[in-house]
Amino acid sequence: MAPETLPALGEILSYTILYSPPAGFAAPLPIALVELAGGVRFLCHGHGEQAGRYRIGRQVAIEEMDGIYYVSTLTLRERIGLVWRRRGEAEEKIRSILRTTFRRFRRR
Amino acid sequence: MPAVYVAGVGCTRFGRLGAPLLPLLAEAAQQALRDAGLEQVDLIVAGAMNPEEFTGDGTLGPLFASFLGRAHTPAFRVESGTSSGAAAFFAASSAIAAGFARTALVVAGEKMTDLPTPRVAEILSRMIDPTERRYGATMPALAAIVTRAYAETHHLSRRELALIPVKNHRNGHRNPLAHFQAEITVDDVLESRLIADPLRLYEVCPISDGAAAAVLTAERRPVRVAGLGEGSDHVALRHRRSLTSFRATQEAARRAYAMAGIGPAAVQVAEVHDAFTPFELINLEDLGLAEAGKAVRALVRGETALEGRLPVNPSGGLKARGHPVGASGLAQIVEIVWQLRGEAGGRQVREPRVGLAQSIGGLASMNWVTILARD
Repeated sequence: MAPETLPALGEILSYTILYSPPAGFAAPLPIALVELAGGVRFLCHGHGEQAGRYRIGRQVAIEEMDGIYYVSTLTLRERIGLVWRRRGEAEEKIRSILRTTFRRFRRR
Repeated sequence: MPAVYVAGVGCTRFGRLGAPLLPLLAEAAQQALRDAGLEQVDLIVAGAMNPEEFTGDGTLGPLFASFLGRAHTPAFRVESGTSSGAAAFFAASSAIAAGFARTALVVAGEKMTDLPTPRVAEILSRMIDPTERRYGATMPALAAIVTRAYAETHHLSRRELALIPVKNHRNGHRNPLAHFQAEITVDDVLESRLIADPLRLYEVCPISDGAAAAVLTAERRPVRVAGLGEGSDHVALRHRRSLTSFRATQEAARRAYAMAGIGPAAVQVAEVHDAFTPFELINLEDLGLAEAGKAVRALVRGETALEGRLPVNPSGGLKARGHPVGASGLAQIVEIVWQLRGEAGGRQVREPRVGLAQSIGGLASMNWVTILARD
């Protein structure tokens, strides 16, 4: 089977913020069920400080870090800011942020 | 289906109990055998989710049969997660319907309170898809994701959802076997701590010990097993078609109604799986007892209260009676038998002739519907 490349943008179908997470996870733990364009669904972790922005139906960017998917509600402006601050860090991270930024931009 | 009758039932008190698993199972079993007026049975089916990890007991069938002093009676265990009790009832009913046994003892229980809560949560999370578990998903987390989707789709308010545990605690208050005997208010629910947003503590079932039992026979008795149905679905939530209904319940109900030759309109009392209380509304809709999105209306109007048109969870449900996971599916059936026989005491509903029990295994990946009738 050939690996498929999926768009890094999706929609929040539903989510929770877990206050009693299992061992190995810190509370509060945002978990979102996300659907990508094309219908693929999966669970993602969220960033705690963005959880207040989650809404069912909200468009989010998907990022992968160490084999775990994260949803991000960052705006384009915030994203560019993030890239700027991270400059000089691991090149791969910047590339992945640029990639999601570019896709996000292209879809508009 | 070939005739299968419930000859006797039994149930222990649910809650944080001192007794180990085997004596709890034996207490329920002896009560059911006495109730049936039977000493011996052809078959023993034991339901439990995970005695290996909860108590360290293995090969529960023969272990329990020996404990009961019936080491020579064929005995085995059935497991389908949190619906194990209903699955055990299904297996024993099937054996009688097939003519392989004339009588059978079904017993189901769980002993959970010996372990600390995080360890219990870890054992329960074995029912979750491994990939989703890797993200820290627990049963309450997945139930919260479903609850949010359901509540938002049908525009339910927090106060409306809070009416479910209030109703079920009110029923539990009248059930001497219930884990929780105290009534609660909507404010109690809304002020309880968040477990998995939007689910709060009072919307999540407790961790309980307890056991239930039923004796089945091919000989004519007042309460008949009218219909049985099983339904299944993907274990992974992300592979489900719907987030606001459970296919596994819909399929189990379709089969059970077809076997019973009745429709939802004939059901006069129901015990449904309210381990996470908003599920009570989803269950009523999946069972055809309410239209999609309309179950809340029946709740708010008091139609599902004890004195309502269709009393739901007269026992207090999993929320107030308690949820010893393996026992619950059978305890629901025991409650329906008591209701049909007019033996439910202070929580008796008005002379029902048809009752239904619905049990959810895992996050609705293996569900059962059992319909009982008094002829």
